[in-house]
Amino acid sequence: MSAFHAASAANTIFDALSTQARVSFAGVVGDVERDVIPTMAMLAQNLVVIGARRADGTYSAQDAADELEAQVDAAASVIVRFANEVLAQIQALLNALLAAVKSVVNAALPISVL
Amino acid sequence: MLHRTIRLWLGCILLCGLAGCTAEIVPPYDEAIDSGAHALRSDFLKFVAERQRTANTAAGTYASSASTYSDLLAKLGAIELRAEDQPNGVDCAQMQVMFARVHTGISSFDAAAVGSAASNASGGGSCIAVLARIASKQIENLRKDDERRCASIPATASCIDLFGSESVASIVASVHATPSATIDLASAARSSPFVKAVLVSLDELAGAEQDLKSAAGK
Repeated sequence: MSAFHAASAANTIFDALSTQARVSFAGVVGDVERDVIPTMAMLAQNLVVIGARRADGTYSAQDAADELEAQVDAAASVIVRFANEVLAQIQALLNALLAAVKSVVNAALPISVL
Repeated sequence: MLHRTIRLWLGCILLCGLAGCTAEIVPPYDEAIDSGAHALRSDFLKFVAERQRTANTAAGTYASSASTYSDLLAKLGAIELRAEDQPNGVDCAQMQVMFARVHTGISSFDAAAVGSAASNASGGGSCIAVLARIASKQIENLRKDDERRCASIPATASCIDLFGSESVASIVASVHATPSATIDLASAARSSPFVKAVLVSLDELAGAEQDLKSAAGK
């Protein structure tokens, strides 16, 4: 049976985790800058346009209320997509951890059991 | 207590690692949803361009567009059903509540209203299913407004502004462009806030499926 070094195993698992975390969450941060903030700002500008049209009488109160609701729903979509992306990256991180545990166990045994 | 919880988690991870299992907290990437969502976005943009082109004519009234709404809603319904049939993993509503509480830095948005909109559309399930529900609601609300605002000709200003006169290319670009600090009044006069909001919801649905593909590929 090959020797099992706890410190070496911990390093292997930590390396796998930190590499995956850098890949996963650098992408999430980049997406916030590239997609979330510009889209939210565009929706905020839409609110200004709706307010101006309501003020000059182009829109009725009902028109303005319906269009405002559409902006809120759009913002909710942005948040739900972001939640989906974070969950997907957490899944990638968990799977990297499980794969690292598996490789450490296999390395410690004379035959590959996993 | 904390150490006990950490030990429990480490034990679970070790056991799961030993058993060779994998974590599944989001649904798997689904090519049919991906292609369906992109096709839907394209259909919607064609519809907007057609309504702009036929504005203030008989072809530009709600009556002429009712079947298009039915078609868009049927396609979204199919995506929603497919998303609900997938293994859900973690309930997306749990994450929405957390993110809705995060300050967006844009004071015009009421975080509680956004969180409430997400929760109301949720009904449980994966984030893809929730996004499909929100997009359905957006199209249905646009349909109702179209029916109310564009029932007859000559078209009212309210009807013209529902679809705006900004080119589709410009609408698409504005949804993802880095915004300037000031509003361009000339383009604002031609813009359609409703169309842009619906497009954002359709874009996020298509983008979320792409995110699953990217995350699975890493």
